Amino acid sequence: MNHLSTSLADNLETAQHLFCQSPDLVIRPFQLKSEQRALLLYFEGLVDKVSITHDILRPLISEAEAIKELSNAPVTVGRVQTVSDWTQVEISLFTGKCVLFVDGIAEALIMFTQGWPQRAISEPQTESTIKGAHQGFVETGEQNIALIRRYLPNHELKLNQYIIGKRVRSTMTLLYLSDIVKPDLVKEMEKRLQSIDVDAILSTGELTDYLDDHPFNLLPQFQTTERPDAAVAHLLQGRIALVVDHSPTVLVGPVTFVSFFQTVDDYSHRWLVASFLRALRFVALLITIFLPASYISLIAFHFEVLPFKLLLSIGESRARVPFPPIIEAFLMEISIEMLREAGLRLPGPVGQTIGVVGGIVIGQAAVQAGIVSNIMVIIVALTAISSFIIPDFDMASSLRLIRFPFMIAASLFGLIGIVISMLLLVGFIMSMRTLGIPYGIPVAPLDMRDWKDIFVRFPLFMLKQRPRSTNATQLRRQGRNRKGGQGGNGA
Amino acid sequence: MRRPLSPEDHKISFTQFVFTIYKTQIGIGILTLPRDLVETTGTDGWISLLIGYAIAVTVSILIIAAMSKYPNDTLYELLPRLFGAWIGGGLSLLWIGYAAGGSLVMLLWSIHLTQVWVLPAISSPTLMFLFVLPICLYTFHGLKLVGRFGEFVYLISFWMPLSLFWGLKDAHWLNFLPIGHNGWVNIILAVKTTLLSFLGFELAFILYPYLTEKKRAIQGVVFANTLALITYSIATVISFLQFSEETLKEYVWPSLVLLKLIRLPFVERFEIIFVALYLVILFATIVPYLYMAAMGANRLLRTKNHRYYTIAFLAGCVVLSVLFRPSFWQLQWMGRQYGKAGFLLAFLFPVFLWLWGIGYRFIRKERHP
Amino acid sequence: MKRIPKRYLSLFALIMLMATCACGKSTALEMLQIMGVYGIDLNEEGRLQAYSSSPIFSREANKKYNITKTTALSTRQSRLQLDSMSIGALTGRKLATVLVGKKLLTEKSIYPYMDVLFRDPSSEINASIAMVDGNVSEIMESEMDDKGRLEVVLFEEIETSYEDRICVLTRAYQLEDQLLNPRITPYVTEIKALPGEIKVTGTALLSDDGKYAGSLNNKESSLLLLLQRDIGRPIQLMLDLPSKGIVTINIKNANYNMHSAYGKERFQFRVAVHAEAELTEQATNWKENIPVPVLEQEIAKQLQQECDKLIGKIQRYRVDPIGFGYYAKAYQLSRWKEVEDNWGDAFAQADIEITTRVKLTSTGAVK
Repeated sequence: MNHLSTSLADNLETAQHLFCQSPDLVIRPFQLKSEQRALLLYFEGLVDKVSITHDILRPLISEAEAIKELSNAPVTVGRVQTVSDWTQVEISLFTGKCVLFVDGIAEALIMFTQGWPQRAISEPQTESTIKGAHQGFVETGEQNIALIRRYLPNHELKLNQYIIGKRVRSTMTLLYLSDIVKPDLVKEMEKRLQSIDVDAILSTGELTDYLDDHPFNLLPQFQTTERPDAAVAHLLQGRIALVVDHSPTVLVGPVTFVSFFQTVDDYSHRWLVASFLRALRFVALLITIFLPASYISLIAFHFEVLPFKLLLSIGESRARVPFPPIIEAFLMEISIEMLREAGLRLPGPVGQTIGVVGGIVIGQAAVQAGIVSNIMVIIVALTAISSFIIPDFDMASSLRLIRFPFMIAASLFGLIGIVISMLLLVGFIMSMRTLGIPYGIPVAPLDMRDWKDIFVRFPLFMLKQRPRSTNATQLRRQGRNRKGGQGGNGA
Repeated sequence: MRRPLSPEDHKISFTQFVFTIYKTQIGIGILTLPRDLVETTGTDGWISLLIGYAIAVTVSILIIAAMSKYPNDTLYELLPRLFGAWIGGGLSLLWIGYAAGGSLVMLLWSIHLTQVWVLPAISSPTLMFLFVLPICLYTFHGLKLVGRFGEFVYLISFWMPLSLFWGLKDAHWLNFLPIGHNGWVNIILAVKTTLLSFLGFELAFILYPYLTEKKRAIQGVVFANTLALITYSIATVISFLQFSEETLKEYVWPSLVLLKLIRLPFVERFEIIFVALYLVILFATIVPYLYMAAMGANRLLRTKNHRYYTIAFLAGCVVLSVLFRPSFWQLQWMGRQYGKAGFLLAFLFPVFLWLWGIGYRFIRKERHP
Repeated sequence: MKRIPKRYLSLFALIMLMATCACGKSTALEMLQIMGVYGIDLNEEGRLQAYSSSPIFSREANKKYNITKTTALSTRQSRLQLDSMSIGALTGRKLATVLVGKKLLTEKSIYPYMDVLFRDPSSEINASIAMVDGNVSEIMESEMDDKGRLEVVLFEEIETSYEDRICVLTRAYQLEDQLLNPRITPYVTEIKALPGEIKVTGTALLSDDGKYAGSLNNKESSLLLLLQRDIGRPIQLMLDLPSKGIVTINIKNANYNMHSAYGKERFQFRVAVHAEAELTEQATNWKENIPVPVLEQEIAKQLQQECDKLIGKIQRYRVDPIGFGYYAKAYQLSRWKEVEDNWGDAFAQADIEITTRVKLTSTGAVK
């Protein structure tokens, strides 16, 4: 069963048996010019039909002499391969290759004529950019690797391929720069990938559940990106990237908490602007987590912290609200989460309408009806906007979730609750590791050398070394540009 | 419990060494220090502070000197080695008791502080339970997390002593004059108060063996003590500038009163926010002491995991908080007892240990030349 | 895998348990009576009366603030009564102004009435203290509805007057310091209720035991601020010069030189004030052109006379709101120790010599 037979009739029978109930399988028996019988198999939608007619069938039928060895078959396809067992034939067929059997030879020729329907390369949806490249990954692994290679034409870029999934055999390609990345990192990732025993991995997101160091922790431990330039930037910093076939996102690791607040765009802006944006994001982080909780604790426990006049205006707007602040906050926070989700699921223009209508209805009407206070609406809006500033989608979603326990703690224990929750969150962050790298680096454990590129971004010519937070073996990123770090390029 | 901790989990860097010691030194003391000083020596307290600093630095250098001969031993291995199993074990027990007592006193103080300044309505068992959660988390993961916690606390709290400057509304430099008007004897007497503020450097006993750059250990302790001195000086000098001696004597928490004066356009009653955040600093004192105790118990009983002792201690604390609600004076008494123990163990013991170590090595050399 | 959720579950259960224990202890701010003004006074029969004013948040209510009034049964019981209606009982956590009646201050020391404010850690010690010339009820019962909330009107009135340099501003912690500190005597803002408005009339000086000693008017208050070295904001003074008539100057900066000595069985202080000022107004004799040095000398002389008058006045009241005691203690410690407990009397005996020098930095846009 497993090995191919010399007899074409046997092979045909096996094929028909294997792929019964597959009407899209094309079985094309034909005769070579030398009247040797041959058989071509392929799946209708997965192959490039033009290539099959022009590069395979035409030369074989009109020109081919008797074939002794398959590798010498006169086909004009770029990449071919001979195999001798059915398993590989099966994989090849399913991945859009076509298979040639020739009578009398117990081998088959795999020809790489893939041509399945695919999406054109387009602008990434979740990571849009102003100045960076506008190409995004697509659903084909090879294409994605090609995109990365375009940015990083270097022979040190190594690719390790793994097939994962018992039923859906997805190809995972691990990319890394072999002279920069610490070998342990690749080994560790390899170990984790190979230990996955699962039916199917359909997208990168699924993979993270199997790869995370702390699967019960709320915070993301791998970064995913849709942008080849971002992936390459990570590779250059000494990280590894995992391209998953079928998925338009690439997994990047090891990451730290602060690396979720960096984007490739930061490096294409001028450095002061980029630094401002960085700082803004960390302010947004604080607002996202602490603002609703602080509001609740101030209203419920520590009103004396507010200046008298602010207190009066908050008191006036709160006076009509019949709920305690925690319920008021939850009402608004949950409705804004629903709005966000609704806007996401609806088609583009409708989604925007929902946002506007929902915003006006929920915000304005709720205030007028005396269900929530003006201040609460402002706070919820500010929190939502802040959470959208955080560039990484996973991180932003996690943080949005984290603020709910903070709000509960604040409503029960006031500022003390917030501080305790903060300590617990920080404790978890500090004790986490991703692929052997402390998650809290370079803040705790402290490494001041990396601080040039966290809360502010120094001018690029001052970032002479790669970040230490990836444990890169080769640190030199550039030489002395702009002598002394400033001034002109020399006369 | 999850996997046991490996030695790799305990390596700490130079900055972690410095900040852990520094943040252990800054505890409840700074909130009351200006009054403690004024009560004995008036506004000359800053001189006592400097003398106390000099002594603390000397003793911490002696600790490093004593430890450096056995670079892989923590205190709990060193004691049996130098004094034999029985006496060494006894001394270890003393240290464990001291460290555990220290963290208990600090825990009770932080509960009292919270109840007085932030949430008067909350019950102490609830607070104790809340406090125990992060402390448990930080102590569980070993020295590495203790060190990282030190760094983190330093980063989020370095502005705190500086914020006292906002509280300086009307500075009376004449408050310092004439220097020494309360007599030099009182200045010397007040040194004891300041010495207790520097307690925390004895942590070097357990941190030193895990320090990656051992050569910089002395630099590290000096650095930590200096940071503590700067912090204390800011609090004392600003209090002395703002308030007169007579008023300071009335205030139980002079540093916090100073914070009450801060009024920003968007925030008033700054001390409430400050005390809530100050809990983080208090935890940075409790956690290392608790770790010191749990680790000692672990070594002494030759078990594999310090976590059992941590849990036992913290559970005990929660139970205690249900049974016993200390008054301010009881807390003060406990603080004084802890101070006495600290004086004996952290100031006198290192000197003794250092001398004993020299004698011990001398005798051994005589015997086995 | 199985153990972890279990552990989290028990933790979660515990937290929920704590939550139920802790619930119901917080009250949202709009439910609270937040006291903004607190007033104490003696009424005609000598009974202690306490007033408080707290904002009403509800929009439906016509009145924006709520005044409560309590009267003690008798003077003898007043101390006891104070406990039941002290600041601590209400939420004094946001207190902005404390009003004390003149009658109370003349008869009793202020300190015991402020004690609760100093003692309770949750009370606001930044509240400004003011003495009411007249009855506290006049202020509390005045119609302020057209101006807004009484709490806001009062503290803004006092604060802007202080910024205009026509009165002092004493916050509760400063008052405590002044009361306890023997080197300076307390002083508070003095206000008076006029029909439909509140007027800041100057400064009330208290003796070291916290009783009313005397008052300063607005101009004297400005001079007091000058001598207290409180020149964070320019001090405006109107002076009557022999050559130029009435002019207004704005003192923007000043350097002080203080010399203290002890002789002739009394303390001697010499204060040299070097002020930088600008001319902002010349009301009467605007035609005549007087050279600047002459003008400077005349202003300095006038200023000195005004200061001497002020010093004379406070020495008569036997109080030292300027803080000469600081110098006495710092430089004449042995002598200071003799009079420490009675600095007001010693200060009344002291020789104080004030010399002034004024430098005009500009005469404005007009020559």
